[in-house]
Amino acid sequence: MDRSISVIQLLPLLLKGFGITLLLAAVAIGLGAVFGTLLGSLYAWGGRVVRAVLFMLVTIVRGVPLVVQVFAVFFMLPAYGIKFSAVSSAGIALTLFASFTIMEIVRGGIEVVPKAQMQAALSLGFSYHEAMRTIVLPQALRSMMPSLVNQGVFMVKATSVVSLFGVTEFMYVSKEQIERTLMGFEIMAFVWIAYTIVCYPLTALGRRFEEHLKGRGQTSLAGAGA
Amino acid sequence: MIEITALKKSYDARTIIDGITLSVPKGTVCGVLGPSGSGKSTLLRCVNFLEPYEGGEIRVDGELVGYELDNGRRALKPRREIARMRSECCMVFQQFNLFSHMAALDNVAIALVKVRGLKAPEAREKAEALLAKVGLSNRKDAYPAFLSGGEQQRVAIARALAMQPKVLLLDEVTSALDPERAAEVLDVIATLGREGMTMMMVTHQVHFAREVCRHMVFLDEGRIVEDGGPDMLARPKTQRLRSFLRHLRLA
Ligand SMILES: Nc1ncnc2c1ncn2[C@@H]1O[C@H](COP(=O)(O)OP(=O)(O)OP(=O)(O)O)[C@@H](O)[C@H]1O
Ligand SMILES: [Mg+2]
Repeated sequence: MDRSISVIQLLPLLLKGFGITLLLAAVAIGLGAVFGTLLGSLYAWGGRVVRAVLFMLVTIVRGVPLVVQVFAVFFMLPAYGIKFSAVSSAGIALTLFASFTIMEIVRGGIEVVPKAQMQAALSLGFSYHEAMRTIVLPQALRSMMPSLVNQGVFMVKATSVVSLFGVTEFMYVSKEQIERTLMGFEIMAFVWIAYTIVCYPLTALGRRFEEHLKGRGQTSLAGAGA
Repeated sequence: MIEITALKKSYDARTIIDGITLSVPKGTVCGVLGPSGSGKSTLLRCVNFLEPYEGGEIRVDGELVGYELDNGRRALKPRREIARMRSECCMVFQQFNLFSHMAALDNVAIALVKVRGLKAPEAREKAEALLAKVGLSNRKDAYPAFLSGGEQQRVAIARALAMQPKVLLLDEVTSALDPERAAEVLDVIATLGREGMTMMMVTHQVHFAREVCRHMVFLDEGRIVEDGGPDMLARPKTQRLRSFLRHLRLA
């Protein structure tokens, strides 16, 4: 063991790991938001068959812990000769997870807007698209916002799962360095602070939004316990 | 102003409106009564064309609602035309249905902007005047969740009036309110009636209906069982209406 080095010297290594963590989270959240919105809209407005298929998929994907899903991507795809790097596999697994979680949020957001809101707008002479744009979607988005923010925070934290699979993200690198330098306390303190610096502002943002909605007597999905 | 002739409407195989003929002259109020499920809401929704209908016709100010005739064949009107007619024939709902993400003032102003194409400041100005008319100037910044039922319903009426409709359709607008709140709303409606607004109004408020409605129809199973003037409810001719009124009083 080498007590002469300090966390400062490990900083470049640790930050590189943290960079990969943030990259994974950004990819999963970004792609997840795109796919999730598409799938959620499909679910809310789609026909019976579309709904049935999506329901089946979401049940399959969300029926197991995240770590099992990552396992599946890491070990099932190669069995079919599909090979990705560890980081790509992790990105795929986390995106898959985020997509279906966000799909559920979007579907819920659209479905909680009562049909009567659309009817009231139409009865005043709104076109369908104008009613969608000015009446239904803003309400859906507002109700989804806190859940989406929570989901973002969750994704940042959830990336740590892939450290189990040798992806050199923040936790993996930190664990390596702890084993090498035995500076468990210092490194873990740094890890703790780094996650918090990213997650806390997001959490606070979510809470602000929640308060904002409450101030207007509106409910969010998160507030409604969904 | 509203001419309904032999109107027929069904959901799947079930006939809901079974040949209704009814005329509401300009500046008069027509009361619609009937037991639950008799098709009162459906009738109003057809006039606003929230529901298509298969048979007969509805005309508002002489213009056929929802369809146009092309060599004697009926085809849907273009969407813009349907929307325009809806905006001239506004509906007020039992559950108010205010836009919950907008304050009272914007609830009234939004359609002026999006449907009538007014600039926002002008729309707000008109909306303020309308809120004053329904006695809610002091509540214009409140969100629907913080308004009482009676206040919400008056905002909903102001929202409909903003379109300066030729006709106002009121579907049990006081059923979700306690008697005091209902009275606030009924006052507004009575005033509109005196000012000559043409209205079709579904209601169970027998006394109010007798005061305000020039004409009344009693529906059962999608047909007009009895119609008459304000005293129809005092001297019902049919057994069906008599028993309906008896149940209404006991309720
Ligand atoms: N969208 C729909 N699909 C199928 N059936 C419907 C639909 N809307 C209404 N109905 C049926 O049409 C019939 C008439 O309904 P309507 O709402 O017009 O009655 P109502 O006279 O307004 O009753 P209430 O006093 O309860 O409001 C009811 O039997 C109802 O079940
Ligand atoms: Mg009804």
